[in-house]
Amino acid sequence: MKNFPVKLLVSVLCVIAGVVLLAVTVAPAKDPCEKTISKYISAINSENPEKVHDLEFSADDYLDGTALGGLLGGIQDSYESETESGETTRMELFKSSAVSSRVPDDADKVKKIKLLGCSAGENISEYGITAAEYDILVEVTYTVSEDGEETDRTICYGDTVSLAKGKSGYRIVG
Amino acid sequence: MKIIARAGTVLLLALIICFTAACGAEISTKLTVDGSFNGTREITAVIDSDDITKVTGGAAALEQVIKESKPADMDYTVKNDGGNTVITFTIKFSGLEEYRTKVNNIIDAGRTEDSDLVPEVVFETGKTYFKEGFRLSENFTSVDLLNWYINALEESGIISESQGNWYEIGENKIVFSGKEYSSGSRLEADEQIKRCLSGINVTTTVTTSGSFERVIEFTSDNDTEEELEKAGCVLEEYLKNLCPNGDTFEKTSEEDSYNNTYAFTLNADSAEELVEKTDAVLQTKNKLSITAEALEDTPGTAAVSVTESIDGTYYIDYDSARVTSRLKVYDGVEYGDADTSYSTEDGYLIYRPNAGGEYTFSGEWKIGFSEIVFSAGASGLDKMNASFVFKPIEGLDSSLAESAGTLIKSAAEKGGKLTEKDNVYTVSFSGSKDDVEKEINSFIGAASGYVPEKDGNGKYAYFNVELEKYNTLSRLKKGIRGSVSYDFSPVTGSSDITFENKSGLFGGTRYSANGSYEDGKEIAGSSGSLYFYTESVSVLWTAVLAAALIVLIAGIVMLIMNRNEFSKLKTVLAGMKKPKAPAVQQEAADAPSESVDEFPEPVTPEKEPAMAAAGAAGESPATEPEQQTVSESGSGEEDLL
Repeated sequence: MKNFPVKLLVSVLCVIAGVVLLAVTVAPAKDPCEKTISKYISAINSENPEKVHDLEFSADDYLDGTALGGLLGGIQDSYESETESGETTRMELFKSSAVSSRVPDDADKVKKIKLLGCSAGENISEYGITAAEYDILVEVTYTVSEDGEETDRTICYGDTVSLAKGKSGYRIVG
Repeated sequence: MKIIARAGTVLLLALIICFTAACGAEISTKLTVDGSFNGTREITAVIDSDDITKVTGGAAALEQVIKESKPADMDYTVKNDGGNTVITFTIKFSGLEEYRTKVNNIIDAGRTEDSDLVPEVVFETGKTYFKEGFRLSENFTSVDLLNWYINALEESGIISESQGNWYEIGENKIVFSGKEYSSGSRLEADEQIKRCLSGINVTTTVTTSGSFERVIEFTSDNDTEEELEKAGCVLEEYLKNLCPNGDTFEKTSEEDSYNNTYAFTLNADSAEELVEKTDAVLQTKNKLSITAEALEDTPGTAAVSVTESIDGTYYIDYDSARVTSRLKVYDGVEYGDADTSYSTEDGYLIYRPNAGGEYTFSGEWKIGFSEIVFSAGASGLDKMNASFVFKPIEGLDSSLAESAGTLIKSAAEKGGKLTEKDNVYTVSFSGSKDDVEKEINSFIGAASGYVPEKDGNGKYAYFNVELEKYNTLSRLKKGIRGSVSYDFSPVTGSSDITFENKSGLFGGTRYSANGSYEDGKEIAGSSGSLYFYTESVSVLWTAVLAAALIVLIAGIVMLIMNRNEFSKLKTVLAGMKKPKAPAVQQEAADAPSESVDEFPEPVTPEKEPAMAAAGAAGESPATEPEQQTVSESGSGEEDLL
């Protein structure tokens, strides 16, 4: 036992402990609803309509279809109407549409939507459906043209997101 | 009409009221002008001998009242003509402007509270593309020009009001360059051929920094433009040539529409420059003057007076079209009663000026700032800070800037900590949530003279905040969200409030106020609601992070330092691989080999040279024996096999 590599073992344990602590410290602190919101905004940010759709509450999740959030529908409607005129591409439209009412008129292009924080609101459980409301803080980075040069600008705004618990966890209602 | 009727009624109460018999005073007017509008206006009142006896003091008393009350712009004579008393009032003038000024002064001298008459005189001769021939018209009567006398007679008491109220308008005529035109009580003579435009809209914006912008918009229709073309005038080209250098002109209506719109956008650094440019475009004499004086008794407030005259008669026929003027002088001036009716929309005062009429609008203006930045933050659920930064308007009159500063200073005496540098005032608040709420309300309330207290719902009038935690999605930062309802208008007036996001490695504050964005800053109204989100470093989790990094680094360093123990580990692992039974045989057969694990074999003189050789090769003396041992052990194992 005298030749047992004790120091090596201690070193390895220190490294493991350090990595674990580091991971715990820097890992995002999110509850299930916040995870869904975060994924949803990531899906919008990465302009992935299928992912967005997957994260929205649907009739399959036992909710009245009218309760569906209008975001995706709105995006698709405007996609259809605007792409017909050939003025913009689907990818540009997707991200821009999600925040169109917020960014200033002089914005040329929405570059990035980032979730900065959440605040849990009312939690309701009725008729077998568990729903929650979250106030979120979002940062939008967009570009404006100044003297022929593109400049990045950011705005922040608060919004409210409603979620309901379906078969596959919390999904966005609106 | 109401005013004229009243004036007519009172005139006879005053001048001739005593005449209960079938006759009365006859008021006649004769306006004589030449082509340059030089001339006289004579207003003659004839009172017969019977009627004059019913005036206490007779003609002499009437004359005495005239002497005491007559406006300077009017002369008079009193004559006895065959027993009748003839009073002749005369206005002499050289040019239209002088006539307009004198008429204005005389009407003002007799103006009563409910009078909103703005005198209008249109005098046009010669030939332009838009009008040909002579026209002279007014929107007032001679009775309006004698109101001062009526009022004076009422006050003198020489005439009894109970004796009747009739009068008779006599002959009214215009004599232009020797030719006589009969007229009604409002003088009017019109021989013109007209090809006039439909209307003129004038929008004037004056900023506190002293910049003036005026958009003059002409409207016409295709039929009129066809007539103008026949007369040799292509309207768009004609107007374009009037545009002052450096300003813009454009046709703003669609090409194929029946009604056409042409707009001039004029910019100037002074009212005088703007008027000069307006004169060039409208081809008439116009006026704009603005005064703003700080109110001594009300710090932060100024009395604003705007006088404007817009004359569009060169292009439009005032019988069928008008100028519409939209005026925005500074932001948020609240106008009081004026001589003419007006409306307000989006900060613009809107009215319809008569030709050559001068209009004055007076109001109060809460002196603004170029920028008011509000910031807030919270370091806990009951600890917060907030501040206002008031930045002065560049170029604002110093007395106004001082008055605005006085308001901030006096308000800050009631709440907040004031600092001042280069006329930039900063008022800061910090402490518990309740203290900050109370202090901000005291600060704002001081400006309106109202000391706010919480209402039945526990809310203040000007500033309320609720603090709650919010998840920053990172353990390293803690977040506090503030929900604010505010009304800063007693201090800020109608000035907007600016919110600037600040974020960095160690936290910051972001705002969401449903405002608009300018240069990355959010700008919202002087009252409303907002959220602020403060992020700050979590001490606990930062300590955990630091500990994690220390442990990790220490572990890596130790790992590097003890890397030679990997061979030990290999040995141990190899030892663990040995089958049980052969191990026993080995124990019996090869005791020295076992002693490597349990009891290290003393270094024998035979082995020393080998170690020395290994040391010379740069290998660790501590390692070599172990390697050797492993090798030996391996040999031993091989031996065992």
